[in-house]
Order: sequence, then C-alpha cells, then structure tokens
Amino acid sequence: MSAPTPGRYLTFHLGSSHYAVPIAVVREVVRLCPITAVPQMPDYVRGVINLRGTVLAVLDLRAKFRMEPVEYNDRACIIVLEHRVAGRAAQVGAIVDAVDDVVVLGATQLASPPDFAGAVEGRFLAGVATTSDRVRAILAMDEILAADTSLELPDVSSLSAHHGSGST
Amino acid sequence: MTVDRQGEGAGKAGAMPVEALAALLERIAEELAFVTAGTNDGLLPLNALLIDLEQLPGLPVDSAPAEAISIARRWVDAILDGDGTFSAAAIQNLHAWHDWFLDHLVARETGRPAVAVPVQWRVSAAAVAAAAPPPVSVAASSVAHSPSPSTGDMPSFALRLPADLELLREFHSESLELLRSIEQSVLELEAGSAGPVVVNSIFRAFHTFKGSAGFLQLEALRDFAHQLESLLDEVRAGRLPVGPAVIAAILGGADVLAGCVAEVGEQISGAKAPQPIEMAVAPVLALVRQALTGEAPAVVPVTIPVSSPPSLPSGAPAPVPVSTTASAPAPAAVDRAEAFVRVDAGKLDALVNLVGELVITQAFVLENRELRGADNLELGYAIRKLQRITRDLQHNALSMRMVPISGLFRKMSRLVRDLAGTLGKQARLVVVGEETELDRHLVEQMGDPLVHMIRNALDHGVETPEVRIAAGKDPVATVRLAAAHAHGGVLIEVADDGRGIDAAAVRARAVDKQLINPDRELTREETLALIFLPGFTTAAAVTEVSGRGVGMDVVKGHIEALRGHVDIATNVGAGTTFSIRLPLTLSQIDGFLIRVGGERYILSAAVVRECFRPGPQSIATVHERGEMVDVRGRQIPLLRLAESLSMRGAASRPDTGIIVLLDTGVGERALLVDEVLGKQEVIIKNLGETFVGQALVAGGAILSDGRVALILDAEALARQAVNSVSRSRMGVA
Repeated sequence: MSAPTPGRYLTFHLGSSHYAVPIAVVREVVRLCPITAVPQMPDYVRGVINLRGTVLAVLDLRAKFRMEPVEYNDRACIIVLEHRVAGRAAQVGAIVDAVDDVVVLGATQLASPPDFAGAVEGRFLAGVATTSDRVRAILAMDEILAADTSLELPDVSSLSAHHGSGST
Repeated sequence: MTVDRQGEGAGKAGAMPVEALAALLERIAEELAFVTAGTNDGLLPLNALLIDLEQLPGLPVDSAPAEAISIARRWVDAILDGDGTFSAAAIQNLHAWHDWFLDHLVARETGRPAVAVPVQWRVSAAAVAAAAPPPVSVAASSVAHSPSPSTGDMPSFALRLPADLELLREFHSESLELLRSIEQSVLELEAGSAGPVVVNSIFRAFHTFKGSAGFLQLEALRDFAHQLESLLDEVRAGRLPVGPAVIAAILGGADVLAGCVAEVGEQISGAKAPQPIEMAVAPVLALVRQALTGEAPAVVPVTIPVSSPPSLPSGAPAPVPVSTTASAPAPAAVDRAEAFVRVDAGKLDALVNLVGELVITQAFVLENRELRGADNLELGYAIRKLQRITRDLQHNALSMRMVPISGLFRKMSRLVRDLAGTLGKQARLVVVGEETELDRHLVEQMGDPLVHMIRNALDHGVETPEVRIAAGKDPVATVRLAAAHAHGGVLIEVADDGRGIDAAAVRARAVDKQLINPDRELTREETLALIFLPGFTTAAAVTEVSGRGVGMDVVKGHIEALRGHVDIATNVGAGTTFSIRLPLTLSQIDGFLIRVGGERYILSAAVVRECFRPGPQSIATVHERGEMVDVRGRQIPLLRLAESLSMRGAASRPDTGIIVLLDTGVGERALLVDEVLGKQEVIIKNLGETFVGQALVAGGAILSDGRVALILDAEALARQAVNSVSRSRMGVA
C-alpha cells in the first residue's frame, strides 16, 4: 500500500487515540446536538440529526471502534464526512471526543500503514502520520464506513516503536 | 493538493456548466453570510465547496472561472495554513470574489462581454502561493475542441456550445415532446383508427423539428427531418397510402432523431464532451425511398431499421399484429400545449423544497413564546393570513410537480407493439385513466417496474395465438394498463388475459428452488407472493425478453422504495392483475404525530382510523396470536410500539397510554403509544444510505423545534409483528 498523499489533514482524538483524515473528505464540523435514535440499528449508529434542513446519519466513532463509551462534554463534535457509497457521494456524521487542528502533513511525516501480520483490520488505516508530538492513525474512511460492523482498529501508537523494522 | 486533481478536469473542456456553478456559488454565499472575522466558522464548508467547484465536470480548464476558483482556493489554503481564522480583509476578498463570479456568469449568459479576473487577485494569490508552483494546466487546451472529421458517408452535425446552450436546451425538451407525439400518432395510424388529423400531426411534428434544427444550423438534422416531412406530405396529399412501409420509415426516422436528441442532451448537460454527432440515416432513407416508389419489397423493422428486418410482400397492407387503443383521442390534445410553460425540473424541485423549508420555518416562528404570548389582534390577523398564504403556496407548488401518467403509458404502447412482434404473439394495449396525475418523480421511477411487468405479462402471461384459439379465446390478447386515484394515493393496474399463474406450480417451483420449506403451510396469497422472492422465475425456459436475471423481486423492491405496495390477483386460464398502490407524492405526507418514551414518531394520517383509551377489560391474550384489543366486538392485534421498536426503558401501559387504530395493507392493528400529539403536514426527508434496509422507518421529518422525528411505516410494523409471532410459534413447535 502506498503512503498517504501529503496535504492538509483534520486531526481529532477519542480518549488517548489520535487520528487524522484528509481535509478533502471533511464537509464541516458541527457541535454535538440532540440526536434522534433510529430503532434496530447497530449500537454505533446513534441516529439522525437535522443539518440545516437535511437529515444526516450520525455514527459514534467510539462505538464503531469498540471503545468504552464516555459522557461527551462540550468539546465533543460531529465531523461531517463525505464518502462514496456505490459510486455516489454521501454524507455521514461522526461523533468524536474533540477536534484538534488542521495540520499540513508532508511526505516525510507520512508512511504507509505497518503490516499488521495480515490482519483484516489493517485496511481501515490509510497510513500513519508522525509529528514531533505524537503518532496518528490516518483513517481510511471509505473502508470504515462501508463496513457494517464495529471494528477493532490496530493500535498505532504501540506499533510505532517498531514501525519500519519490517515486521511480517 | 490541487496538483493531483489536474487530470480530472483536463479532458472535459467545453461548455461552461453555468447552472451547477451558480448553484455552488449560492451555497458559498450562504456560508459567507455566517463568516465573521477572527473565527473559523464556515471555513471547512467553504473549503469543501471550493473543492466541489474545482472538480465540477465540464469546467473548461483555461477559463476565467477556473482561474478564479484556483485563486479562491489559494486564499482559503492560506487561511488554513495560517491561524485558521478569517481576517476582515479575507472576508472582504471572498465577498468581492463571489460578486465578481456572479457578474461573470450573468455576462456570459446574456452575451455581454465577460469581466476578466481582477489583476490584483492574481498578484496576491501568486504571493500567497509563492511556496508552491501554481497548478495551472497548459496542455489541456490543445486537447479539447478537435472536431474529428465525419467518417464514411454518415452525415453529422456539431453543436455550437456554449453559444447556443440555452437555445439547444429548449430544442432538446421540445424535440422530446415532438418525438413522443410522433410515436403515439404512428401507433394510432397503425391501429387503423386514425384519419387525416393524425397524419397531419405527424407531418407538423417533423416540420417543426426541421424548422428548429435549421434555426440552430444543425444542417444534417434539418435535411433528414425534411426527408421525413416530404414522405408525410405525400401521405397527407393522399398520393401515398398508409402501409407498413410508411410506418416503418416514420418509426425508423423517429428512432434516428431520438438518438440524435439524446446525444444533444448529453452534450448540453456536460455529461459528454462536445463532438460532432453522426447520424446513421442510410437505412431509414432507403425505407423512405421504398415507401415513396413502392418498388422494393416493403420492410417492417422491429425497432431499429439497421437490424436485418423480415420482409413482407408489398402491395396490400400486411396484417398489423398489434393495435393500440387509448382512452382519450389524441387529436383533441393538439395545440393545447400553448397554455403551458416549460420549466427546468431542477428549478421546480428547488421551489418545492424551499416551500417545504418555509412551512417548517413558519411553524418555528409561530411556536416562539413571545409571539404566542402577544395579545395583539392585528398580529393575530396577520399570522392567520400568512398561514393561509403559505398553505396555498405549498399546495400550488406541489401541484406543479404533478404530471399525468399518460407520458409513461404511451411509452408502454410502443413496448407492447415491439415485444408482441418479437415473441410471435398478438396483443393490444388498453389504457385507462392516463390523465391521472402524480408526482413527477414517481412517474419517472415507475418506468422500469412497468416495463418489466409488461415484459413479464407478454412473455409469461400471454399465450401464442394458436394456444389462445385452442382455449376458445380471442387470438389477440389484451394487456390493460389502468391508473386511478384511490385511498389518498394512486392505484396502477397491469392486467393481462393470459394463462394466469398456477399457485400449485409456484409452490412446487419455490420448493424446488429451496426458497421455502416443503412442509410449510401457506395461504393462496402467501403462495403467490413467492414470485417476489429473489431467484424465482416461472418461465420454464429463459427467454430473450424477460430472462435477464432481473425478477419480480426487483420490481417489488423498486415499488416499495417508492413507499408503494404491489399485490397479485390471478385466475388460471383467465389472466393476472398486478395492483400497485403508490402515494401521490414522495415529498410530503399528512403526518400523525405520536410520542413513546422520549421520542416522537410520525405515522401517515391516511392509515389512522381512530384513537381511544383502552378499557380495563378490553385487552386479552389469545393463544398463539398474542395480545388482542376488543374494538366494538372485533378482535384487533395489539402492537406495543415501544416493544416493536425495541426501545429500552420505555414501556407504554395500557391504562395510561392511548391506542391508535391503524388500517395497514395487511389488516387492522391497534398501536399502543404514550401520547397523541396531533396532525401535522411534514416534508419527508430521506434518511440516506446508512439506513437502507431499515424497513420500519420510511423517512424522517424535521419538526418545528428543529429536531428530526422518524416516519414509521405502519405496514412494516404490522408485518414485523406477524413474523415475530410466527417465529415464536416455530420456537414452541
């Protein structure tokens, strides 16, 4: 797999895990607002909100990544993401603990995802970004949103130590 | 970031996609309205919209708009690179940019000289982008606009884009109508029921086509239409009788024209790059010559004259296998069109959506506490007036989107004619209620299911003439297509008088295909419904016509996606009727608002019969059938909504709750809820891809407090309960 394209990324975190997505897939970021639950959906589908007149599906990324639920505070946001479903553009909201920043990541900071011993979950990572302060997983949002189950994402921060040592 | 996108836009230079640009600019203006200095509000939406602009298909790479877009992209990039907040100067620049862009587009549209990109922007953008080389593509301009010489002796024509864009658009929609009327008239001609009026209307249609093509300097198209017009002129003058050869020539000609018009449509919409359009006229011109001279054997092509046509003896008109009877005589419809205005469908949709938003916003304003508390007669009067106007506006806007189903039915008459010929069968199409109006989207969406059902009827339902005669039936089968308003919706019926569907055979096949358990007991309705299962097909042999791997399951799915239902009635030996019930419109319903626990839900008011508090003795548990409610002596199954929706922590109690009696497609149900909140007209919003397959929820609606309430499908609720009862029964056994 090739390294992610250098450019602008939106960074955010869930607990102590830090992530980034290319800004091109981010429509906007809105404050967490009351969500209407939709029955008989997986627990990571929180429901729908009114986004200026259109109905937007909202996912809980913590639940999607099988993390412990928390009581969201006022830093929690919904990132409105654009992804492709069956060739068409669609939008979906993702709840995160907090949005951090928009950063420019250069080629030297970006690497293709480490080989997780062939783990299926590896395809949900588009790569790894290493900056002076921390390591972030770059999410392959199209893959993640296309998967209709919750996922166990590989822990990038622990793997980053031997990242590059060529594990198989 | 822009560098890797150059490739996408490069090949598509051509007409300026003005409408798409204007739509995106409008959204940018909306975002700009909320931008304030020193904050980042709206930065990401603006960035996303600019990326959309940049990637707009059909945007010429070396045009002023493209340059302006890349300049604005660099401005926003600079903000993203900086402290991430707007400066006052940046906001001013973006406003000026937006105004310039609109001016530029208007100038283009009206033919005024377009304003060039202000020089100071280029300078400042260059300064900003000094770090990275500006992503301007040079190679692209040389690729575009290289008209390939027409090959062989096929005449061709090229569109003058973008100069003639508006005119071509008009030409395109006008031509579609002309072609439809030509086709309809020919079918009447063929049925033998038509007189000089019909011939005249075909003549006029070709004549109009010729005139418009000439006006737009589409010479090849004009010349071809002229040939057809001349042929009709001979018929009109009585020098040439209407025979299969004439009809074949007209239909073949109309097909060629339709092909050209479709191509024009794709080029003006930007779906295809502008290029000369070639016309395969030779086979049709040969038909025209034959028809005029009467020398060569007349040929009757099935659809496209190029494919080797079976020849018929000339002279006496061959027996025509298919006839069409329309309920309304067509001549009356001529010239009525003058009272109509053609409007871009997108604009109409936008209007309806805006009116929907207006209704919601009005409700929001009127809910305001200060306004409600105001004790002011004049204000009260003004509010009532406003409400009335809004309501009228909404009804008017919605009615504008309603169109008669006749256009769709007409397409089917051609289909019946062609299919019967291919299958060696004889059939006539009877159309009833083609003036029935419904939402334009529904009419469009019903095309594929109807085509499929008619294919099925002719392929599997209708017998060959020999079989029909042996059975003592008219050798010409009747396919009946009917539409009517019923139960606040539309009822469409597709009926044939063919061999019918044998329930026993259906069952045997379903068992054979392992679609059902051999010892499962099914009612006759349930058995017939098996044909809607994926993988089911009754045809012993896969035929050319219907054997394309698309079955009735697709038809059913399609109709249910339109919030409709399909039922079958059949008699072996006598025929089959498919009844499709559809809502009048997809965009709004008369909502019935209820509450369970902390959530509000909407039901269609059309299915609500009554509401009542259940008496203490009225609910009883019946063995194997679950809870039943006594409603004036009738036992109606009880549905506890909180349980149906698996809501945690919410359980309505019969003694405090209220029962809403529903009349669903599968029988009556008593729905137990906590509270009835009233009736309200709501705009249906699609929930999107995430909830595809969520059968209980038909959509969402935004209530006056801005929150979303889900619209429940009453029939799906009822069906779910049936399934869970039968599941539990199986568990016991």
